[in-house]
Amino acid sequence: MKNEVQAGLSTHLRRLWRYGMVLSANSDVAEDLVQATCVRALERAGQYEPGTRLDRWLFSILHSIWLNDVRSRRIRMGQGFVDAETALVTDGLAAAENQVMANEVLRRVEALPEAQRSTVFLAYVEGMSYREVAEILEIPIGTVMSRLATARGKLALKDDAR
Amino acid sequence: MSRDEDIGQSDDARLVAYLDGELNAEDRERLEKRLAADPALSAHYDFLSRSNFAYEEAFAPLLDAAPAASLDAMLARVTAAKVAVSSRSHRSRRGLIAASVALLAVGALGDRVVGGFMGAEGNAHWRTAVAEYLKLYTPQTLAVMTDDAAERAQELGVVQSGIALPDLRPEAIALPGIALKQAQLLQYDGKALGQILYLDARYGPTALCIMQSSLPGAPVDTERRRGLNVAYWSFAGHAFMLIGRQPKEQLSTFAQSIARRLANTPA
Repeated sequence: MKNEVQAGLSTHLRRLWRYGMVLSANSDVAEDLVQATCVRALERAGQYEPGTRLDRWLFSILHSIWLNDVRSRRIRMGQGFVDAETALVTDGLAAAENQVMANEVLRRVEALPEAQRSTVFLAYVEGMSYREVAEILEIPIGTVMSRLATARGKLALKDDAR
Repeated sequence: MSRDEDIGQSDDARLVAYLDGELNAEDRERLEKRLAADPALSAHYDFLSRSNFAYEEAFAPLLDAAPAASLDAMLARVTAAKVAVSSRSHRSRRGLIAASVALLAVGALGDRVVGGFMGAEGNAHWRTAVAEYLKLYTPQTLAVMTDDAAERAQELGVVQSGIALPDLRPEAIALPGIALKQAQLLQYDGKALGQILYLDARYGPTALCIMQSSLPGAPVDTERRRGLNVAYWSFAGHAFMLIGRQPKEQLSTFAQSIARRLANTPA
């Protein structure tokens, strides 16, 4: 189990970092989140059930670290967050200058409140089922559905209508 | 998603679940009937489906932007720290890295440090790891060690056999005007790593590290890692690196001198 976790971690680092970026919009925080996730995953390797999706398990660890440690601490310390408007698009932009639509999608997603943003990301970018999203975010499926419904309503709006 | 009772929510949620293929056959059928009969609902469905973007594609560049090398090095570090701490079972599991750092700082990591440093990305990771570890040494760490030539020679003998080097005499690895402080054997992922520590009065802790390597021989090259300068080369089935805060040129001169002396060692 432990070896499976250890070996599997390396293949998911970039995806975990991206999720960290979606949550924090700050590459340093994202990297710290991935590191904390790795440490905790290795500590708790015994809790990982072989045969289940390791990436799902890692995403849920990262999310709970974000929620319980990083996010709350940052807010407590009054640091707030980097302006979400800039980070994702800037990072994405370099590689996708000509993907105007892609950047527009990024902009719209990052303009969503955090709860909707993470739900949209996990469901539509990571391609997870509602049930998987619910497990990672530790919320009822109904909440996943209502978050996605609200988010979809905003995402569907044209720029001039927002 | 299965039953309406579970949804128990707005038409929006139902329509989105329909768009996402998360409704079961029964609910899907019921909704399709309503859509056919209700123009307002159908219009709302059209509106919501405008948010069917290529999300995965839009976020792909962000994946490419991930600092892969840095993340890999971090994982290697964390894995190494984890193993180092596990070997001391009573140590607190919190602050794993801090704990292993402390172990290293007092030079007590004589047992196992395991990581994927010689993995897919070739030879560079172990140099990053060494750089990170060396940064933890202060002049004081080494200053307290006694200068005992006989002890050093004995330590070098241990390192020599550990990394299967033909000869590692003190005179082969001596640096002009810089004190040789310690030679010890560490271990990375089942491979022995010889670490020879010097204390440069001007530039502080300096290390020569050696591992067995399958890479072909290569002349001395320099690089910067974690704020330290590195001169590295490979020769006769071994990878070498000399690392410290000296200017690159000086480090490179030292490295070439050591490389020459080791190459001239009679087999």
